[in-house]
Amino acid sequence: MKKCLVVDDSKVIRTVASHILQTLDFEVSEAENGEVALAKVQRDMPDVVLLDWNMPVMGGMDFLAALKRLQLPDRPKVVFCTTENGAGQIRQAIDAGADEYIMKPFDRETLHAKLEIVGLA
Amino acid sequence: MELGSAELAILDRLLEARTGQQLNDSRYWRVARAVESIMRSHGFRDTDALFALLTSKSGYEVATQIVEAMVNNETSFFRDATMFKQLRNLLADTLTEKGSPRPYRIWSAGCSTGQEPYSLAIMLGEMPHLPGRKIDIVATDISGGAIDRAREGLYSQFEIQRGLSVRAMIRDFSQEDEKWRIRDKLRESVTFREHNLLEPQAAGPFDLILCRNVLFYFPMATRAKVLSHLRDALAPAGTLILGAGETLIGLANGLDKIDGGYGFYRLHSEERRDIAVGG
Repeated sequence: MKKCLVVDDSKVIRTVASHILQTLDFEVSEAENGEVALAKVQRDMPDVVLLDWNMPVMGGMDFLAALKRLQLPDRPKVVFCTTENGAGQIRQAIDAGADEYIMKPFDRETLHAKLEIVGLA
Repeated sequence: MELGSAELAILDRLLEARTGQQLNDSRYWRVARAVESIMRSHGFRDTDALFALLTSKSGYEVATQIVEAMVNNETSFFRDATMFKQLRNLLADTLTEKGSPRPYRIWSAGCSTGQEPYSLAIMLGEMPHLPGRKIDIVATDISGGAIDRAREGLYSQFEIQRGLSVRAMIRDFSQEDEKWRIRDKLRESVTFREHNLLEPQAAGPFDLILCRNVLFYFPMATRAKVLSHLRDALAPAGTLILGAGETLIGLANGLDKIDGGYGFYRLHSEERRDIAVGG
């Protein structure tokens, strides 16, 4: 079973995303910010991280930079999932190493399609 | 909204008369929504008034609106990723063959709001190793409203995210407020036209025809007619792609399924030879 780490400071979003991912046969874990996510990634490497942009303690862009610094041999795919929907921010995330990008709000079809694009569905 | 059997029968006859298609189970939910939305836009309070107009001589325009809403099929960019992967391989093999100076011609039949032909244009743009052979993409749909939207090339956030990679979105679309517009170069690479599949396609022959998840909506007798129009529009060595779940069983079709190709068909070898000799 593929693993996904959902990183979002909103409990509601984490719950909704987790539910959808479970219906897509993913084993899901959750983190409320980038710092908690970074610790979880090192303990139990997921196949993909679904990542919010704005979060307290450590946001999505800082998480992505920290993940890069870890120089993991097999880095998880990173799919941003955020309300930051401007073309400029999307480019910034891609340049920083994000594999895909979902603009909130999203639904099951969108999430499934994006996971398919990164080769995980 | 609940529609009674008499009302559904009127809509069924209307749809069949205008398009040859049937009002099968998969469309019932769409029909109720279409009727609701048209009632709102015309200020009708109940379905009686709408159906009275529909069955009168002055109801042609509102009938057209209802038909358009009923046939506007669900679509998305790169719908059916496996098919697009196979198509990419086929095009890589076909388009790198030396020889033909004429354009490679593609017909997207039943293109709805344009996601399929634009996906083809995007995919071809991502194949830089192709030689400079000109490629024509013709895209048709019975719905004038869908064709207008396709020509405009403007998609909502929901539509743009369905099947399109973020890199393609950023490269091939520009943002306009909450929407995304396809760039001119790609938009201009597709010719959109209204066309009813019950009529022959005069703009053939085509090297590649995609008609996915469309035949299903026609009754068997009409399906054979539509299929014959598709076959007649196919170039001798061309490829027809149907929806992965569609079958030609029970139809005398003159087509051979291509091994390993997920809904890919070629003209039966005898027919290929006849066309080559005759034409």
